[in-house]
Amino acid sequence: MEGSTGIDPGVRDLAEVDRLVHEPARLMILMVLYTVESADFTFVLNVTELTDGNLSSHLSKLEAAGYVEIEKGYAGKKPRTRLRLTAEGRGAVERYRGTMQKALQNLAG
Amino acid sequence: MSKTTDLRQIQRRTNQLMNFEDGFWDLLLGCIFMMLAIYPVTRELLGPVWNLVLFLSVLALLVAAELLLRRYVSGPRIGYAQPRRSPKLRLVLVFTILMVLITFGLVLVTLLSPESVPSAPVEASAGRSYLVELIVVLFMGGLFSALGYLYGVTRLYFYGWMLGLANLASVYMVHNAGWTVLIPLAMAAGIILLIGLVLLVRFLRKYPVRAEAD
Repeated sequence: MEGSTGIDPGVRDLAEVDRLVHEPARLMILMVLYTVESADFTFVLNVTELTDGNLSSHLSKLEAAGYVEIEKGYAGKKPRTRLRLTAEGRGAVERYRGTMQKALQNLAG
Repeated sequence: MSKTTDLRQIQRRTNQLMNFEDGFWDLLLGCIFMMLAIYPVTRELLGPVWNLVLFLSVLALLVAAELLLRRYVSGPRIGYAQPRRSPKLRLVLVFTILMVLITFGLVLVTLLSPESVPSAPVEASAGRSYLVELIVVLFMGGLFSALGYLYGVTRLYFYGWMLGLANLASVYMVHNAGWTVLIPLAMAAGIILLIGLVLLVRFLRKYPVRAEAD
């Protein structure tokens, strides 16, 4: 540890991590949406291999935080839910990556 | 639930699901090279101009079929995603299109040249022909390997070298055994078609059509 009483900078950085992003399932969802312009529910389901209920639950939380935009519509007669990362969501993912990289570098010494 | 949160892995998985999971790309590639393998025979029957017209027409139909099958067979099963137009992706797309155009151009030049007709061998240029085919081997191997790396699809490495070497073997057999059908190339195309078919069957089983969930 650095200093006589100071918290290790790497550990302190980890405390600042966005916990909404940090949850593994939500992190996967955000990363999938980060790599595309938009995707529908089925596509994200297939890439993340989450269950329907699990994915819906996490999407609700991300939508409430303003990270994901959910657009419900139809493709012909079939309902289709389109998902898109908002600018805030994209920023949150980039901040998370920066925080984790900094934390891991500090932890490595 | 997948354990990975590696961004590059997720990017590759996304690309794979969008383009290479259903086997349609492999079936298209296999069909194209199968047509090239029998090109000398159909050229003898139809003449160079009509043969080229037939080739291009069938190619256009195959590409249209692939797009439609993607839209109406794959789409409802794996879902839809719009790729992100990042600078890196634009570069990958430009590189891919450029390589496809160069390959297509080389193929057309080869097919339209007199030496491509087995019944009219040009002995004096056999050495030059092998050199050209060696360059084709390196080009195909390199191109497909680059695409395999960029898209994260391992089998593309295998396809490139297999097709290049099959083409070289075909030219050798044409010059030395008088074969009219490019049999090694047809075999390579057959292997790709078989892989495509296996991928398609696996895809249809793994991803049933689902009604959209909330």
